[in-house]
Amino acid sequence: MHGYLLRRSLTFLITLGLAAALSYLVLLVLPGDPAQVMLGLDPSPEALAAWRRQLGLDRPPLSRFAAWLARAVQGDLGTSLIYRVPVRELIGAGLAVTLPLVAGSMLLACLIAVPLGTWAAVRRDGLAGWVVSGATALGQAIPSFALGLLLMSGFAVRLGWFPAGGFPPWSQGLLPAGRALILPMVALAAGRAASLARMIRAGLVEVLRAEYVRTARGKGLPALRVLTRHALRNSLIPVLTLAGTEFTQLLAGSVVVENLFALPGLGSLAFQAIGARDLPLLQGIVLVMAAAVLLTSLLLDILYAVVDPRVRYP
Amino acid sequence: MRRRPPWNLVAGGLLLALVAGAALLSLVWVPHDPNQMAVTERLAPPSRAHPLGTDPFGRDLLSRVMVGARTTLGVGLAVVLIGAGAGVALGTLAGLGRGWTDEVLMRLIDALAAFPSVLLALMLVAVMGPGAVSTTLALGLAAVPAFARLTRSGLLSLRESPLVEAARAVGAGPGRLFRHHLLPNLEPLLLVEASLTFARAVVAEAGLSYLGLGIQPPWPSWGRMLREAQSFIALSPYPALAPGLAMVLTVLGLHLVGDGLRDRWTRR
Repeated sequence: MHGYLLRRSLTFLITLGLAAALSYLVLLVLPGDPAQVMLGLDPSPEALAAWRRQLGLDRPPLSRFAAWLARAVQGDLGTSLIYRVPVRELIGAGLAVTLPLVAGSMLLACLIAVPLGTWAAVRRDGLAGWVVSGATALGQAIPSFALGLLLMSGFAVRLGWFPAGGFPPWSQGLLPAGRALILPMVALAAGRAASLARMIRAGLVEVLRAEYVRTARGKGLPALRVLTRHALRNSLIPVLTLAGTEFTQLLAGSVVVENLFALPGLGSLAFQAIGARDLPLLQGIVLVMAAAVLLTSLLLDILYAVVDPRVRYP
Repeated sequence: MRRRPPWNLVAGGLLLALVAGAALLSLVWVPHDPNQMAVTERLAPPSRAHPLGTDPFGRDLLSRVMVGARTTLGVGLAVVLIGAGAGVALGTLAGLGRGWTDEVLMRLIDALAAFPSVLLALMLVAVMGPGAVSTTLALGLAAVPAFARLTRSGLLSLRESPLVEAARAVGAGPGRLFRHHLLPNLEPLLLVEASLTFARAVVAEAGLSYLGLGIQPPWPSWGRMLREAQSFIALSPYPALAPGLAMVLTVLGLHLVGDGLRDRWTRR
């Protein structure tokens, strides 16, 4: 297990470094001079040169990347050009919205998907199986921001049960902030829940045909116990490997949904950074999001190795 | 006798044919000029003149949805071509090269896969400016890892199979082996991935256009139409319903086709 952990962690670090280099490379060719952006129209050449030096723009790209990466590793992502505060603080504030949103959506998606997928697999030939299959196929097809729009017009605008957008800071209490996150959370979770439920159903249908399930039934174990202990547990293993993709999809969806509900999360921040050509801020956000995706897949792989010993001993 | 194709393949195919038909028809005929504004007919409900109603500027929704289908399908197709083209090439290189080539390529693919599609698009928009080109390129790039991984793992398992061993034994060279024995066996898997990639591209393009970063006005795009409808949703649901439904039907069709292809493949 230790050998596997070590190898997998090493790959994680290498990939993260590559992702950082990739994002730096893309944003390096960004048109427009950040120093010019800060100083506005028609600055004096001296001021421009001074700012360029302060931002390190006069050095060659590779040494700039090395310096940026060295500081990023220590948690220093530079200073935002538009807000004039450390990027780390802005990202921290954004994460305070995005993290609960994404984590809550994933949890909600699992809470819906596991029982729904199981039910559909057990009743696969009955009416229930068909209804669930149809509903999940449809749920998968509705883009999260379109569903968000629908939820907003129904539950926020018409019924007024939830705010239609905006976000009271956590410091004003958990309840108002949590309430503002519910509709976007549901909008994000629905599609993921549908797609997870379909995976669980497909896996469980396979497993329920397996010999060991028949054996377990044959020796007289109660049906529910066979289902949860023998079938469900094994059918969830392959789903684990696919959950990483679901998380990436969720993160991509959150960028649009945050904008729809005017939530001050990482997605909205990235959107502002582009509008203002705020290079350090955009780089920081891109790096944090890529790190989140890679970290999730690392954790899933470790979890996978814990539940399936075959992975550890190739 | 040929077996009947799975029902989901048929249903999905019909849905896609409907959308593609509307897109093709819009090349030669639309009920109204999709950009023709008419202040007196703002937010009209469906009628004989406007079967899906009109938008906040009095433009005919059916015409806009039809022309929007062209955008959606065009971007989706281009994304699949970019993703599959580059992905299959890289996956082949990694799968057949093995050793260091494989290691380096796959780490690069892993790094690329770390960027959610929309984030990749935001980066390219920052560099190239908003529009159809940067959106398509970004989504195509985001589709590369899935195709590359699929091709590589498929090749790795195929190269040890009796089928390839037999072909090699009768003297097939690497080129012939790849074209006639490896690629045809990967095809079903790649087709399933292509339909899913297409579906994801439709959703992502709509999302980006909704944010104002994708397709630029006045060219109709379903995501943009949703944005324009948003402020008027309390007055009339039709401007949001028309593009929303078109999107759901397209994505549903693509998913059904993907499921159908997979069913056909696994049952064989």
